[in-house]
Amino acid sequence: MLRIINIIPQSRSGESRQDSEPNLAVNPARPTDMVATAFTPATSGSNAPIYITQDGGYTWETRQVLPGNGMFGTKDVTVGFATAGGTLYAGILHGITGDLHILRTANFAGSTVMGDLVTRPKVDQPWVVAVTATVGGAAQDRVYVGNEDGASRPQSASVDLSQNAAIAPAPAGFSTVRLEQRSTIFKDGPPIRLAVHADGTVYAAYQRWASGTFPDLTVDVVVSRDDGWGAGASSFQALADPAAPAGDGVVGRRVATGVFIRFNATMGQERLGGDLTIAVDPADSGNAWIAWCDRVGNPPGVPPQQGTDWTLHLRRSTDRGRNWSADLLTITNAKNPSLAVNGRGVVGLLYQQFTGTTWDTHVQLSRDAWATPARTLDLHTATASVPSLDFFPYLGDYVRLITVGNDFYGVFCGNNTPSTASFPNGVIYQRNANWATGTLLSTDGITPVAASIDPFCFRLTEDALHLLAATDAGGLWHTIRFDDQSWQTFFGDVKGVESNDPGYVAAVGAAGVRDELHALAVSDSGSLWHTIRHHDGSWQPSFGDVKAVHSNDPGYIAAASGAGVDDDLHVLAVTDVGGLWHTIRHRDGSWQPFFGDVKAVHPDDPGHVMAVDCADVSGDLHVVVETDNGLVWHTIRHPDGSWQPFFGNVKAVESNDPGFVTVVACAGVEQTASAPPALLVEVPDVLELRGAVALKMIRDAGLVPVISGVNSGTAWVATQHPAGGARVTLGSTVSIFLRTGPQP
Amino acid sequence: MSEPIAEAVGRSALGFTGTVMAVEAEPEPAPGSAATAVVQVDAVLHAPPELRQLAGQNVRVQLDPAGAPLQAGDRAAFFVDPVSFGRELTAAEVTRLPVSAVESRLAAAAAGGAGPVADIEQQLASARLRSHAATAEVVLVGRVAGLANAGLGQFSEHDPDWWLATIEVAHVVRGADPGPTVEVLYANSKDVAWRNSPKPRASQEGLWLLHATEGELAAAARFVIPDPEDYQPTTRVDELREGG
Repeated sequence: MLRIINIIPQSRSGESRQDSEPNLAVNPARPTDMVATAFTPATSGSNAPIYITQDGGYTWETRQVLPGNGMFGTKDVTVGFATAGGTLYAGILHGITGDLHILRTANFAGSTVMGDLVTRPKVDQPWVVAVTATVGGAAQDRVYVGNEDGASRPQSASVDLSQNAAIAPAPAGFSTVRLEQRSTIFKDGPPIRLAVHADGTVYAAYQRWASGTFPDLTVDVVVSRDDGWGAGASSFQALADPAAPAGDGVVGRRVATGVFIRFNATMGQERLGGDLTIAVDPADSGNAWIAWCDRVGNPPGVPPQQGTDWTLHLRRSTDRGRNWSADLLTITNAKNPSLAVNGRGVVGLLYQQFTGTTWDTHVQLSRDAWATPARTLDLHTATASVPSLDFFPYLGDYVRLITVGNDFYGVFCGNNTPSTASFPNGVIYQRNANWATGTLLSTDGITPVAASIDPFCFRLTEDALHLLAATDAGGLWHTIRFDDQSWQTFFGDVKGVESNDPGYVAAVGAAGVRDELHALAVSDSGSLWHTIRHHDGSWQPSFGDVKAVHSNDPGYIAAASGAGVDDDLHVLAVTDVGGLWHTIRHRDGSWQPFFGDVKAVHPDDPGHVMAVDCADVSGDLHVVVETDNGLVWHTIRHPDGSWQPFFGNVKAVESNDPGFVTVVACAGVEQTASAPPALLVEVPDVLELRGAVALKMIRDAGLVPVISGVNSGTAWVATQHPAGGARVTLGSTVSIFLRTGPQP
Repeated sequence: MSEPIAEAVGRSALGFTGTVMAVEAEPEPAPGSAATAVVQVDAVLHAPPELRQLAGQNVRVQLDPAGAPLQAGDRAAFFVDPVSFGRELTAAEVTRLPVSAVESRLAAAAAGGAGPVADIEQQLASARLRSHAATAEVVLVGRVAGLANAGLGQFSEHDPDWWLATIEVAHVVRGADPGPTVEVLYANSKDVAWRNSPKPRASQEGLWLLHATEGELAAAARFVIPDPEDYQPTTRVDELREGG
């Protein structure tokens, strides 16, 4: 599943700035918590904003917590969460002074300015990577900030690092390690990128400006490595070039030598010159990937200096960086490569490509090192000429792709014109937009706003279909259809991997909660059992007796259904007397201590319930049941624990009757801009209201108000639906007419 | 600028009249903290461009603990600084005035005049210009007669890419007369770090606020114009004179 979101909040709908050069951090301990950054200034005050989400990216807000709010917010800024504990780190160039600040906060969603750990002038492109190691039972945040350190020129590729940054007062153990061991013409390139493995292996990639006259540079692409978290006096010395004549024997393995870069050349209104990324396989620290861009001078035979291209190169190492492959992939006129590897070894490559007329953003996924064509997802395409350049970088000198478990998260910037053609895989906008006309709208939902550059966040999950089957022999079997369309080649015997036997399985239920499958088995004795298939393929070793951990017994359970909502498992159970019961297995493994009687919290009784299914829809638990008279009923449990106060008769709101219903099933399906909802909503009655209030009511109803004229009647406002009540399609335009005379 | 509204506009990024829809106490109030009022905007008094269409929207106003308490239905002129953008704007209250203090301005604006506080904003802009001019070595009116690379090199994407503008001096407003022409360093880079620094164009006329160069730049020229405010249209020269 791919979900793309424009992260500009709704209340910033009036903005038309160049919010370029994005970055992203995802909290591995709670991936619904994310932080993004871009060149976004605060409207006022001395601190620049970050964007935060706490619901997996559906909604974003800003927090003004970065010191130094310049005309465009901070200058360069990157962010990273530790892998445990939730501490957020940032590396910024101050928006006023341009100085490096390394920052920390234990509360990323708070409004307190992030604490300063390191401040230093003359630094470029701080790039933050944070992980958490456990030492003697204690968690220690290892934090790395790659940077081009002006104080170290001409050997300026550096990394500021701390072995335990979470708690200690500034400088929190940070010190600067110089990576570059060779001579340069006066400095290294701006990007210094890092990849850190949980076993303590740290790769650092940088671009040695070896020779040439600025801006025409001959560059080596170099990788250094440390095998002990970068600690110690002689860190990042684990890799060296081969001895002459194969290499120069110097520390820092050269992946490519003598590539050509015309620094600050432009393409599609964007500048070029510093594109570099490195990633390590979380399952094997010996597998590393690198990508960079340079000018090869195509068409073939044209020397690089006379070329116009900007070519992305992708290579890999399978021996801890000692040897590197030839190019596995080249992409012409592409920039901003960002690599990440997920828990199943799938390599993701995010990049932006100039086609001559458009900037296109793609992500490629490969399971076999590009031996076969990668799966390519088109995230965004839009004209490269709109908006006009305000400043460099137009889109950004970087994007970012990261993984948490098997999921890919990324961020990129692009033209924000609301056009379904620009988002082949859909998109969600928070800011106001008219998709029919391709126009952004200001906070009032009326005033057009010029197209600009916005940051877009995406989440790409390798969802698989898990199937549970109960057999006539009372067995329980499981198989998987993977996202590459292949099936697990056998049914797995679930009972066979559990230490206890729940008996004859008469009915089953299943739910995905994060990356785990929760299985519910109803036995012929009316009991309810639960087990889990973990993301690594292992199963909880025994079935848990669900009734045994509840204080009440709902009776003989005949059927059950489950759904994951906000990392909790919700379970609905139907009893043989037609009752409907609900319980929750919380994310910490504890159960709600009692079964809740769902019928008891509804004033109406749909009758004898025969079957049930449930689903997560935007954080609500939706429940559908079938009763013994063949009707279908629906209710909702909200996140605050309250229930819709009635069972809705589904057949009553449909124009036709499919007949006697015997089984029900439901699923929450995301609605994106490419699949606009066709829901009907009621036009609110705004007669007698002031214009501003009326506008808000119309907008809150999901409609678009347009002021079409003045009203000579007695009311403040008149609409084409004078007393409201009309049913129109969500998103319809409602004309209102404002009274110009005295208040009636 | 002694009017309360002028002070309020000067101290805040956003001003509006609004009706309190609800007042929410902090669940666990910390010392000095105050309630948040959900205020529906009736009319915008002053705002940055992206917030000028706020009428009809709710703003969550973190009330100044020193301010008078509010309750649902109260109306006031709120002067705030935005602190968080989400589905709704959250802003910190700077000060508050009775609606009566701005009613005549709103009526005049509705009748087709300029913005409700345009005169105050103009005065504030002039004051800022005078304050910035006071930091300049020389303030003059002149025309760009030449542009040339300063030869100082550019070695990274954030470097300023210094160029020299030769300005024919028409009139010295403040400071020592530099002679008939003066060479001024400017950042020609369009990088985010320098985008808003003035970029003189051939034959451009204007009011130039020249700052003395320091360090290695002093060898290239006496003056530099790094600040976005260092170039102004010639028409603004009178604002300097009015300030004395």
